[in-house]
Order: sequence, then structure tokens, then C-alpha cells
Amino acid sequence: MTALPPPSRRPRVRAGLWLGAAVLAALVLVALVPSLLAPHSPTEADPLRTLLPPGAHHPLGTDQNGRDVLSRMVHGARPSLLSGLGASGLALLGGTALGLLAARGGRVADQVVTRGLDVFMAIPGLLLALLVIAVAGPGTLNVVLAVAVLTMPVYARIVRAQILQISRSGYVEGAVTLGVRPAAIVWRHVLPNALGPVLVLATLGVGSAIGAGSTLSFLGLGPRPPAPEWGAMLADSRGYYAVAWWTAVFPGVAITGSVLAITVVGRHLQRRVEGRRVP
Amino acid sequence: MTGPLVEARGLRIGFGAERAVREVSFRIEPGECVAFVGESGSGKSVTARSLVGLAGPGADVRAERLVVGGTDVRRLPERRWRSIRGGVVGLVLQDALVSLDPLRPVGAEIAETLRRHRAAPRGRVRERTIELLATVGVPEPGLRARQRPHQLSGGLRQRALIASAIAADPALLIADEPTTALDVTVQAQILDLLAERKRAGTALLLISHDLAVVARLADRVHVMKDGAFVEEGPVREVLRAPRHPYTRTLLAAIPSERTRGSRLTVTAEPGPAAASAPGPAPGREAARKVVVEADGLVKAFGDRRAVDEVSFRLHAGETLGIVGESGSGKTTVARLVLGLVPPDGGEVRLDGAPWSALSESGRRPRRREIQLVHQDPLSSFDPRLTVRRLLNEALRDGGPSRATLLDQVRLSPALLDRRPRELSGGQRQRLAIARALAPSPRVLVCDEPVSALDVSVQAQVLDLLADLQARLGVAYLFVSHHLGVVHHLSDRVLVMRGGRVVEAGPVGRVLTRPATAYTRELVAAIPRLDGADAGEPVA
Repeated sequence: MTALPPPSRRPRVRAGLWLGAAVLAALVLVALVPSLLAPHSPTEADPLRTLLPPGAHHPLGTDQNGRDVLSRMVHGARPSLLSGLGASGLALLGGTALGLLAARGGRVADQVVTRGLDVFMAIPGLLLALLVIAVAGPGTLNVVLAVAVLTMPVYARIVRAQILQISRSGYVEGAVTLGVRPAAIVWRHVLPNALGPVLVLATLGVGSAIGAGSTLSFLGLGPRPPAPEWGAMLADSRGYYAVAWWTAVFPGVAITGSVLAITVVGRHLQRRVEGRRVP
Repeated sequence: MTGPLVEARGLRIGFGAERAVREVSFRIEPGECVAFVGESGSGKSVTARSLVGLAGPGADVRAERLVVGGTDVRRLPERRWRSIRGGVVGLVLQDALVSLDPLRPVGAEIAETLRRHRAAPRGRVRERTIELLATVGVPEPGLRARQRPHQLSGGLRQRALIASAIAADPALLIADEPTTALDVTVQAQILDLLAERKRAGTALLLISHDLAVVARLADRVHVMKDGAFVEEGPVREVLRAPRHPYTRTLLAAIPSERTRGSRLTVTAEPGPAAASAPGPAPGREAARKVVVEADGLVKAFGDRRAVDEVSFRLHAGETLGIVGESGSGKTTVARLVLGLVPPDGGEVRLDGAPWSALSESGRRPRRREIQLVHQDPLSSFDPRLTVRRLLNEALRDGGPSRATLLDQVRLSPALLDRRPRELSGGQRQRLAIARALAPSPRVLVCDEPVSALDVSVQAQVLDLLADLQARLGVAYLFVSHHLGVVHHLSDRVLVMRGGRVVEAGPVGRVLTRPATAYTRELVAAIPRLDGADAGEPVA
């Protein structure tokens, strides 16, 4: 029967969304051209100007080696963002491949992949990442790899579930009755429809990947010391909280702010996509 | 109470700028049955719901006069609506599965109404609940009261819903498409139950798209179109001598035994091949070549045999109908024939060559010969693709061109860049037919192709199918629970029950002089337009 007309929904302008988008835009700009905003070199140490409080010359102060905190933060944006994007992208790619294999590769492949993922997910995430670093050694690239391995099972499971659901749909059946080859069906109908929600999840994942990457750097497993990295900056500041709060607070704000901004924007995308999908 | 139970004058309902209902007036007297008939979007549901203050969020309900059970309900506070709902007016919705709380026993639902309206003394609520379930014909009411909705069949759920609607003994029962989701025999039982309530003195407001359902029950009928009544009057008069053209269109559009071999749409735009009546096409009788041969098909799901020893032949250019109620196995037969599921026993042969026995890669080159038109066209299209791309995927070298296909199903080329969701139900089903015809199939399996459509759209699609068969000589395997549709279109028919074929033969014989008790029961359960006074032909 006639469904009732849906209630008229007026899209509310959400201040949080605009703030998130603004922070994200700033983050991208800073990552692209750090020299634009950084007043000093990120690595140049000045033993005479250590642990200066925020002031005119050093807007966010200096750290224990006399390096400009703002410059380090600005230069730290690129590796953080890139490792977040890279880790999510890798996880998405690997997860999609595994999910596809499980969903369409027959019973044995499904059993092996699904059980494998179960084992993976039973190990605490950080431990797993440490294991990857232990095997591959520290460094930016390996942190990306570790974070990707850490988050991949989630994507694999969702992709598998999506593909299974879409493979049962009327339109895949329609393509089968038209005599379309299975590979073409997967490429043309199954993957594009399955990936929509997963892509949105991946944008959310960029935020948590940045967090996870910073955690590993905090533990000293990320880029080598002089290189600016938010997690590493936090770690460096450990001994100086009491006397120089700015060395810890500003990198912390950078991590929290970027993760938050990406999450807010990602959630908005998610709502948009889901809204479109629900008939 | 004296005077009408419901009186509405100049009732208007709007949603924002959209005017769903414009200026309708009606009365419902105690104990009478009034029906609103119309197609989707005609505003009939909203009108009825406005009588219980449930026109929907954002609805702007205005009226010169709107009285329900002696109360002026214009701008009634929500608190007072609650005593009207259930107390004065009971509401029965179409789909009992979504209208009942899945986590609560159905008895609790009924008990809640009893308590809310103090319709039974506190100590007798449980007893009264079971009484009510018995009243609506639920067997083992004590046991059923403790069960949850999913444990009940569709018919029992609908009965339970009616029981909760009548618990507080309302003077008016609104039934919004109460039988649409039900099988024909169950539908007949529910209609009987509603008739019984009417005899017991309850007034009924029946909302339906199905004139035949209305004919059985209603005293007066209002035909609704685009938010206004186009015709109203005693049901016999309206059905026998409809005055408004729209009512005539609706009546003519109902497929049945009588409409066999004729068109259902009154204004037949002449199709490219001169819309001749789809009588036996030249050579149709002569050809008699078997295209699909099913031999002893068996398919089991777990312990249950969904299809049990089903055999039939489908000849070139003919229509074989498969009728049966839900769970009879008719859709599974269609899927076996399409080669979408492998049979556990027996075989399907296509054009005399093995079909079901082949592997999927063996079937693939010949898939074009047998195509599917699905019940729900929306789910059978990739939602991301445009009409153009959907058709391109089905087109073959040497087959009909895209323009020819669109012309055949009378779809405008302007729709090529739309997506399925942006088409109407009728357009979608035409597109589904166009896509199925693109590979020039010899067999079209139609699984409930018109069940989701309004009766006038259904008529257009049925006419289209008849035209196309006359022109292209495609054989149809036509699966439907709707006996009228099957009778209208099919040459031969299989009646299925519990996975078995109980009767088969020419449609004229099987559906007019059934040989088995089950088919007789099915045929008897069809609501008929002449139900209002049996025997006399209508129109």
C-alpha cells in the first residue's frame, strides 16, 4: 500500500561538520606546502633556545633541543597524513582482495580466509603491529605496513559480507541469466556496489590509522629521531611536561584534532551514502 | 450515540507543498462498511489515517468538519487521540509482520489494548485475550497468545492484529489493505472475518486497490484518484454502472476469465504492430515445437521438498501458467527452469538439448535463449547504472537494437539516462521486459511480473506481454499467485501445492471446471466483482 510520505527533512547546518572540514582543509594545505606556515626549520636545533615558552619569535615555543614546535608540527603533518592514507589504502586493497577471495573463491578459500581473519583479530592490535615492526624493522614505511595489517581484517570481513549479499541480489542473477561471465559480473556489478560503504569506512579509517601510526612512533618505532613526527614529539616531551607543557600539548592537539576532523567528515559521508542506499 | 460515526467535510491534507488530499467529504454510519478504492499515491491511506491522528509527521490536516465518534478531532491533543485509537477506532494494517512488535508475544499486544482502554477487568485480561483470539478464529488461542509474530503464518498474524484492533470493542475498524500480502484462500478467510465483525455491529472503513475485495464487503464505495473522490455511491451501482471514466478504466483493467483474449486498457494506443487482440497468432497452434521440457524435477531444501516430481512441456509461442499459494514451489520451478539452481532430481531440457545437466559455463552460451522477468524490477537492476547501460549489457549483435526494444515496450528514449530508482513501477517493469527481450529469447520466465503493480499499470504490462507474444512468438512460463491474471493470459496452467502439481491442463478447463478439490477451493476463494450479488455478470 501507499507508504506514508517521508517526513520533510531539512538538512541542518552542522557547525561541527564545517569545523571538521576546515581543519581537514588546513591539514591538507599544511601537508602540501609546509614551508608556507613553518617559521623555522623543523630539525635545526639551537642549544641556546631550549624549552622557550610560546612567544613572538616561536609562536608555540621550542622543545628540549631548541627546535621550533610549530615548525615541527607543520612538517609532521605530511608524514602523518600520508601514513594514514597509505595504511588505509593498503588495508582497503588487501582487505578487498581477501574479502573477494573468501566470498567468491569457493568453500575452502572462504574457510581458510575467514578462520585466518579470526585468528588475526584474536591478537591484540598493538601486539600485532609490534610483531610486524619486529620482523620488518622500524621506519615510516614499516609503520604504514603494520597499521595496514592491523586494520585489514575489518575491511576483509565487510567486503566479504557485502559481496555475499550483492551476489545474491536480483541484478546479479539478472546478469547471470544474460550469460555474462562471472569475472565481468564481479567487475561490473559486484565490486562497485560492494565497495561504496567500504570506501566510506576507509575514510574513517584514515583517522584511526593516523592515531595508530602516532602510537607506534611514540613507542620509538617510527621515523628516525630528528625527523618531525607527532607521536615522536609527544614521546620526546615526556621528561618535560612539568616545565614545558607546550612540547606535549600542541602535538597532542594536532593528533586529536586531525583524527577528530577526519572522523567527523567521514561520518558525514557515511550518512550521505547510507541515505542514498536506503530505498 | 446518534448521527454518523465519522463525518468529514472539506478534509484537506498536505505535506509541505504537496497536497495529498484535496477537499474530500464522507460519512460513516454506525455498522456500515465504507470502502476507499484507489491506486498507490491516491491519498486513500492518508485520509483514513487522519481519522486516528496518524496522517504522518509533517502532515497538515485541515477540515471544515472532522468528527470521529462524537468528538471534534481537529487540533486534538495527542493525549486525547490515544483514547480514540483503539477505543473508538481500531486500525488494521496491511503487513502484520511489521505492525506487530517482533519481540513480544501477540497476546501481550492484545492485552495492552485491553488494559489501556480498561476493556476488561484487570484480573480477566489474560482470559479475555484468549477469548479474542478465539473470536478471530485463531486455533489453539492459549498457545498462540504466547507466541511471537514470526512464529505465526501470515493469516494468523493478520487475525492477531485484528484481535488487538477489536479488543476495546471500537465502533469503527479501519482496515488498510488487510489482505494484500495474503494468499487467496487466506484472503477469503480474513474477508469472512471482517464480514463477521460487521454483522456484530462494527462499522468498517476498508482501504484497498482491489475492487473485487471491496465488492464483497462494502456497502458504499469512494473511488479515489489524485487526492479526491472521483466517484462515490452504493457499491453495486458503482460496480455495475460506473459513471466516471476512471472507475470504468479500473474495472476494465481487472484481468479475469472474462477478459481473456481481449485488451485490458481501454484506450489502446495502437502499437507498432497494430494492437490487435492477442488471440492465437498465426502458426501458433501449428508450430507446437517443445522448447522447454521439465521431467520429474525435484528440489529439496533441507528436509523439505520444495519441488516434488514436477513435469511439463512448454511449446513455442504459448503461455504456460503456474499458479499456487506461497510456499507451493512455483518460484523454485521457475529458478530450476532458468538454471539458477540445480535440480536434485529430474532434468530440464531446452530445445531438446540438455540444460539443467550442463555446467554453468556450458549453459552460458545458450543463456540468451531463456530470460527472466522478475517480480521486483527494482532489485533486478544494478542501482548505479543508467537505463542505457542496463540495456547495453543485454544487447547482442544481430539482436534487436536499443531503439527497437524501447519502442516495443513503449518506453520513451528520454528515459535512457535515468537510473532504475528514477522510474515508476510500470516503467521499471517495461524496462525489465525490454532487457529480457534484448537477447531475442525463445522463452521468457515471468515470476509474478505484475504483482507489485497497480491494477491499471498491471493492465498495461499484461497487454504489452500479450502483444509481444503475438508479434515475436516468445513462449512464456508465467508464474503467479493471481488466478485472474493467469486466466487472462495463459493457454495452459499448472496448479501447484506443496511442491507437487495437483492439476494441469488448458486454462479454460482447469480454472472453470476444476477437477480437484484444491483447485476448486482456490477458484472459489477469488474475490469477484459480482460478489455483491452473486450470479449477475458485471460490466
